[in-house]
Amino acid sequence: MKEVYRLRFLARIGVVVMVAVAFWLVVALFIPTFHAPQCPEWDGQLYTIRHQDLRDNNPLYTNLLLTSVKRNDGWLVLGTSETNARPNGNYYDFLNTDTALRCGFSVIAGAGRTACTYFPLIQSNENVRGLKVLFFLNPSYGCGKLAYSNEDYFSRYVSSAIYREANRPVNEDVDRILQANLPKLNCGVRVGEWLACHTDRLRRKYSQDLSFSLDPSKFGETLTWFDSAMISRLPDSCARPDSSRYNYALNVGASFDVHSYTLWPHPESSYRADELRTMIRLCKVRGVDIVFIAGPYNEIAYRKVYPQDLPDIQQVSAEMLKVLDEEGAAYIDCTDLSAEPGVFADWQHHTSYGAYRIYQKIRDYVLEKENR
Amino acid sequence: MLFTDYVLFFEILLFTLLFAGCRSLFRKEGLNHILLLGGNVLILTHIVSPKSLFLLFIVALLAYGAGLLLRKRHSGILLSITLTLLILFFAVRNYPLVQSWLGSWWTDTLGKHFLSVEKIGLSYILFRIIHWLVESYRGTLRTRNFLAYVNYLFFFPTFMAGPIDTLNNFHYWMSHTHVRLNVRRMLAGVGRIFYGAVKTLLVVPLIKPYAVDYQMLIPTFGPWGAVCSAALLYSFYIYIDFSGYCDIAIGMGGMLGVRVPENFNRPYLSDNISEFWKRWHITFSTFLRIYVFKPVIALLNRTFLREYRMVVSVTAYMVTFLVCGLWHGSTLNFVFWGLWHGLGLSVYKLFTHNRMPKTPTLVRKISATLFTFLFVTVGWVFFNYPVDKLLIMLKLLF
Repeated sequence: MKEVYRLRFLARIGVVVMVAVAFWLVVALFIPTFHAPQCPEWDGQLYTIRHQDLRDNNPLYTNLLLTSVKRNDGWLVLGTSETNARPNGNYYDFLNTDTALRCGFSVIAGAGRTACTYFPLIQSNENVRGLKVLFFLNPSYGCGKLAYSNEDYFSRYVSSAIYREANRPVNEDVDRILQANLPKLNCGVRVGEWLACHTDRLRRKYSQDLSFSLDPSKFGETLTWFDSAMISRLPDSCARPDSSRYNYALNVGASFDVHSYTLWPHPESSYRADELRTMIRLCKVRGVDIVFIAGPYNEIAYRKVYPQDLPDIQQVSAEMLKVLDEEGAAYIDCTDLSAEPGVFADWQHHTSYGAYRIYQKIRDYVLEKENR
Repeated sequence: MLFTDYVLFFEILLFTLLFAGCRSLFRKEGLNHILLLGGNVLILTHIVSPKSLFLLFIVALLAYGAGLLLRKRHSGILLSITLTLLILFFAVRNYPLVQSWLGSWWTDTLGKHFLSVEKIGLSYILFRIIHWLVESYRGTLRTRNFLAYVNYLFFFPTFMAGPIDTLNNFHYWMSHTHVRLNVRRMLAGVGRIFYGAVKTLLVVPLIKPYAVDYQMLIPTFGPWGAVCSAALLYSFYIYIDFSGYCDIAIGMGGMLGVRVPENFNRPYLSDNISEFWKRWHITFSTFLRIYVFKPVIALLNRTFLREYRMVVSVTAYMVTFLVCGLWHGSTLNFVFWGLWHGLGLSVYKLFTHNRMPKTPTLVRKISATLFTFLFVTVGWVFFNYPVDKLLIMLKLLF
């Protein structure tokens, strides 16, 4: 046993490890890229893709998602935390159960997943051309530290290496704002992410290209299609929350403590407006058919708890609409739901009833667009 | 674990290659120290916050000054004061009980700065500083170079969990510019890291879920079987995990040209508890022997107890292992664990006192090894479960 810890033996192990690593690197160069096979069972619309595949801008999954949405004349719903799954259904669930709408709504959402995190995808992927996108704008992102460039959220969803790689010149105006939106990451992080990005690609040669080439059914197991069972369980409509479980005086869930709130509105910050402007222009340049959902804010709670901040949050919301108007972007105005009782679960997330009310507005818009 | 993310992994890899290259090209000790200091700062800022690192640096700086004074003046009082302050610093940072004794005025003033020092690696820094102070006082250190001292304290492979090196050993390997970082030593480092990676990344995840929680095994083995199996698995888990980490630290040290001391020597093959502590966490038990056990013995020998050698030994064992238990954690179960080993060593001492060692037969050797292993395994139960969980476990069994 002691023998295995001797310098000579350890050095031999070291040689084996180094040779194995070198072999692993060289062989990876010869593994052909795996492409999703064309077959009828994969003609449907993908519901979503894994967070990591989007972060890595993994073409196998991003291409499949985008082409499947386009092929089925569906929509891709993008949003922040309010667009995450809700126990009694979110707005896209209601849209997916609506039989009058003959299209599917795929979803990508997560706290902090604002426009900036989609720039690499939109810039680098040719399949975005002609894609129909619904983008939820939550006014909470004009509040607190969210109102400024946020390195934590950025790094969670985007690799700076991929961001820089995808950052091809679009036009002078867009390029300038793109550069301004990139958080100031230190040199060490950037070098590390660049190396990590390339190691990931190398790793994918085995875990993806080689593995799926040998057994394509493994690839099928990694895909998330629309789950018809889940959709059939969802109600067609949603009533206002029960007053025993809801605080109608403050327009939040009964168990939510409104005083735990710390996101004060920052109407003076131009960061989100710049980001939104960039997204609109980028989508125009790249041929993305994007429709924004101007989300509501909890006006009743502001009026009762922090009346002094109401003008500020109103200004944040108005600024959002102003940018949309100035840039000539299509949008569905849900800000009138701000003062509707039962819509909010807390300061920034809607209830299922709120989701239902948002769905009604989107439904009208989509039906009108289809009939046009 | 050092390889917590890609960024850190690549930084370590790049730095190691750069440092190894520079060491073989430029044989200047000062230059090597400056480069190593840069690498230590770069890598450690991924593990602890820059503020925490800065505060630790201030503590290290003060200790350095105290060490120089001790070397010059050889003052026992100064040594006692600095050691007390250091241990107080550690106790205040690590033990909520001590923080509560100090009251709210403390938390509102200096306390918030103390608490902003992260716990990661703190106790190992403390050990190295104690070593610096005591050995400066004794005059046994072969260097007082500030860069060597700082690099010794903040050497990234051993920063988080040892092994606890000595300054003389660290200085020896750093100053030997004629010892070229040859390819074999680098490759051996890679091999050692590979061992560590296999242990911690491959074996540990397989046994950890069952080792740390006996409840997962109840459906298969019943209460007694679950507790016993989990305890046995925990013995292997803690050894494989910690020795795996040490393999990585030693391998990385080797790649940087510093031969970090070994920390384990097949501890579960020990045939008595005294032997076990010579083979388990060797650098820590050596530290305890030099800086706690021997001083306690010396202190007791100055009192009337010197006539009762067994009392002196037993008291020294109990005190040493109480300190050992308290160092491992601030909860009561660690005290029990420490006292369990203190008791074991005392009983062993009582039985072997004044007896000539016999050459053991194979059967006796195997029985003794098994018994020692079981004794240590029972100790790990105290180590693994807090008191409330221990009580639940006892209720389940009896």
